[in-house]
Amino acid sequence: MPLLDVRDLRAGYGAILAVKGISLHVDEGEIVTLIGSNGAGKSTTLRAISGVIRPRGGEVTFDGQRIDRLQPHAIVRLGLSHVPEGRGIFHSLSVYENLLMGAYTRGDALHDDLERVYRLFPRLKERLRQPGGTLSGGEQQMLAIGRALMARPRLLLLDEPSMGLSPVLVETIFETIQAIRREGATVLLVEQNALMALEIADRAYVLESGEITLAGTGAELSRDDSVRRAYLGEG
Amino acid sequence: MPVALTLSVSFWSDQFVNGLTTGSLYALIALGYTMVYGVLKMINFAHGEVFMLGSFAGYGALVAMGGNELSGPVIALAILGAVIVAMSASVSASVVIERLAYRPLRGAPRLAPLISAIGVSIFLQYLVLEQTSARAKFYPDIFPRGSIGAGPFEITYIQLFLIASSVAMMALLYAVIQRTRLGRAIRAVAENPTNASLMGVDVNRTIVFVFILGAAMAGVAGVLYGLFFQTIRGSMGFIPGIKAFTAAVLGGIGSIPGAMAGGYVLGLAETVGRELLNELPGVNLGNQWRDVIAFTLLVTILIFRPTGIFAQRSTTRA
Amino acid sequence: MFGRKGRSRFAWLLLAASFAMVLAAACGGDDDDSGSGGDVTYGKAGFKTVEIAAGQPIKIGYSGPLSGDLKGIGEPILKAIELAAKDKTIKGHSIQIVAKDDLCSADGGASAATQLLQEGVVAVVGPICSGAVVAAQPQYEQAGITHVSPSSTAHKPTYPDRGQVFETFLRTTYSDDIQGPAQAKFAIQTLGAKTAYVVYDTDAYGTGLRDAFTKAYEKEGGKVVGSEGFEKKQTDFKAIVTNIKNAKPDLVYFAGFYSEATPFIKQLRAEMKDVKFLAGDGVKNDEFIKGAGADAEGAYLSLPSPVYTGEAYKTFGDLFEKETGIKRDASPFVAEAYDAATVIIRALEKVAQEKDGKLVIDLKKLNEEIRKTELDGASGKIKFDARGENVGGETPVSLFQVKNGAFEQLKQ
Repeated sequence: MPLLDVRDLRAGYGAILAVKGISLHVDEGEIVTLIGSNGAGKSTTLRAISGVIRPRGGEVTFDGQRIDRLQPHAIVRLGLSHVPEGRGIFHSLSVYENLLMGAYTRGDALHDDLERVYRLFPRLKERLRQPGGTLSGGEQQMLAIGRALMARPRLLLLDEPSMGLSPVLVETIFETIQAIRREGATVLLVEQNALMALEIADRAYVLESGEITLAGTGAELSRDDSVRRAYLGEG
Repeated sequence: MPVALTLSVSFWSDQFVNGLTTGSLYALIALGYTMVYGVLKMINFAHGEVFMLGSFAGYGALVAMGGNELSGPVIALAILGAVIVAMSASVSASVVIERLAYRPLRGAPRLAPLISAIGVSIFLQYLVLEQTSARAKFYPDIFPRGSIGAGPFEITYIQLFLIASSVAMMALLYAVIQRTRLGRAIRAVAENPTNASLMGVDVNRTIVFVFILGAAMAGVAGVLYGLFFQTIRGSMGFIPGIKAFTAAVLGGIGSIPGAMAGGYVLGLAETVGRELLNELPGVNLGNQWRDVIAFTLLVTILIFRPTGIFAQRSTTRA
Repeated sequence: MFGRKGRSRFAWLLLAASFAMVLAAACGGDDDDSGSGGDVTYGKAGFKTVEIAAGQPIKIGYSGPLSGDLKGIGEPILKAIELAAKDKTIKGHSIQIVAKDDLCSADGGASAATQLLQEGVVAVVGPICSGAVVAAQPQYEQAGITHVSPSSTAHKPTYPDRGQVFETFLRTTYSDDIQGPAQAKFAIQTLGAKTAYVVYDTDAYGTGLRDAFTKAYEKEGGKVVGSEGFEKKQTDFKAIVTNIKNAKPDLVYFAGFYSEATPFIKQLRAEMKDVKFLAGDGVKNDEFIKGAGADAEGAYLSLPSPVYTGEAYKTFGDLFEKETGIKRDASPFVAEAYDAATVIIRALEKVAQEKDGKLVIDLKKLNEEIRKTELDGASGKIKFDARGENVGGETPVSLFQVKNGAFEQLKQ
């Protein structure tokens, strides 16, 4: 049984249907990536899964439980963390408080988790008392991922973690994602940077105008001609 | 322009203490406005009536415990009991108002909850006016009279008690907001409810807690008001409510330290500020000008500094 | 909360509102003319003739506070009026008192007038409070309905701002122009108070009393060391008390009603136990003693009404106590109210004509008849001058002091 199973999902805003009945699944321990151009419906898919917007139709099952009618805070409690596009840092809360917010659903000791985040992102440890809003873009992304890890999620939804970052930072972020997977988490990654996403992904889906047009392993898709033309910048 | 103050030092210190006293009440009530605005971007105009209901509940409790017959150390217990009853009444009223009048309108255009709030305010005000035949009730006159002095400062026991308990309540609230898990959740919801929900925060529940905290402060203010001014009536929430809203705007609406500071600035402006203006040649503003001063201040702030006199960067707002 | 544009529009609205308040405060403050007598010119009253069908009652209106803090004044007065009309018939028509609650406010007075005019009253007792009288006078004048107030003591109703006197207004009580000087004399000569601090309600009653007292007090050689106004329903008098403490007057003079005098004296006594306190008819009410308790002790109160000793007062008092269960001196103006209603009913008896089975009342004639009244009333002799002022008796202002929780009349 897959950890996350999405069937015939439809979602959108107002009169616009941005996701028109897609099905995908993520197995425990996998990194799965969803690639596609701007406006293809990638972020909408993640938002519908985590409950930020209510799906218009279809089913979302997490760990055997239907979650498509649940509030986002209830979904988080089941072990599904969503790092939204734009990172969702609380600007007025300190870095430390942001990390504590990540562990909001947990009542147990946090020391080990904090140490783990500091190990992954030593930069954060230097800035614990600083308001989140004063961090640079790369630091904010680290904080967003670190904060999501504080919940000890079984599935991490990452929306465009590389957006707006320098190539060196992008490299760091992708290494971190792999490190996270090695520590046992499952990742569903949405990326415009298809090249790097496919490099680290076990499997991938291509989303076009709200529909899945291709699916396969990361390696298969990165060899596919149409994918190379459309997303990897080769003509 | 240098103006020689013609009045005695003890006069100014008395007026200063008066300003701190009313300022404390404004500040306590203002917290409710500012916190609700912080999370919902909505002005809870019924908050003045939540304060009024607390005051009436405290009155009922004191009367039930013996009213004017109370004497000796029992008075301290009776006041504590009245405060607890008042807080419970204010909190229950506020929770019901939130559930019935505001939550169904979440997501509606901003004017809708505002109008709903005004409706609730008028409803509660007239309900109590009707129940009391629109007559004033007099708080039991039990607080010991007398004062203590330090240099030019002379402060009556009741004023000291009022200021001290207000400051203590505000310190407690500030600690809850800054140091607890609930406080963090409130600040997170105030900044971005969607992101807060992605952290596992139940936004609706947190909003209810915001109403509870604000109402608790208003309930305490209600009893303090009754003990100090001794006269309460169904319409008593209106002016302090608007003044407290003014205080919240002065301090920058949404900001908790701002609301506290705004309360004191307003209290002092109405007393010390008015007397200072009276020191100018040819100026004689009677007591009836205090509301004019308060609302002129509000309008000036709205025009020239809508983010409040202590405007901070929004990133450091608590 | 507000968009950029919305915010500034909201701000301008508030700005305009606060300017309006400033203006209201500035204009409310001072009365220009305080001369007495002078030429009296009337405005144009809209007298009509009304017909009352057979079997229908004649309606007389009442406008006064029947709820709220001042219910304690308005309700006994209504009872006295009902007593005057009880069992009276005029050419087979009974008399019905139509009572409207005006809350003692200007708004309430105007709205009660509108309602009473719609009800088809032929005359009105009231309004009770001067603020309501001033607001209602134009409406009654326009409709040609004569109204007799048993209790409005302010200067303004008989000396209106517009200059022309209201032909339709009369009162059976006395003007503050009498109460103020009597209080001033009492303060100087009996109490020996050389300095006074004046605290006043900013309505027509309070400012009228303030002016009458201040003028007479200074003429008597006293010095007003400070003066501050307050709004109705105000409860916070701390800043005023501080100013009084600073001014150290011999006397605090309060021009207002008991609803505000109660919290005021409690806050005053908390800090100044011994300063003398003098107030007028608006405060002389049992509610004041009930509310202020021990703090009311020693307070001086005046009442611009006769020392009720006449035979007519005794008859009225006995009847009133028997019929209503309210003591005759528990609340002021009940005898004046009884007289006001009696004046109207007597004039009606003379003016009302039967015609084709209907009762015809010429409102102009009714007005003239009321003005001509000379009556040995419950509250003393009644006779009106051209302004509608009662000049029947040379009635002293009586003075009282609160002692052991009761009003004790002082000998003068």
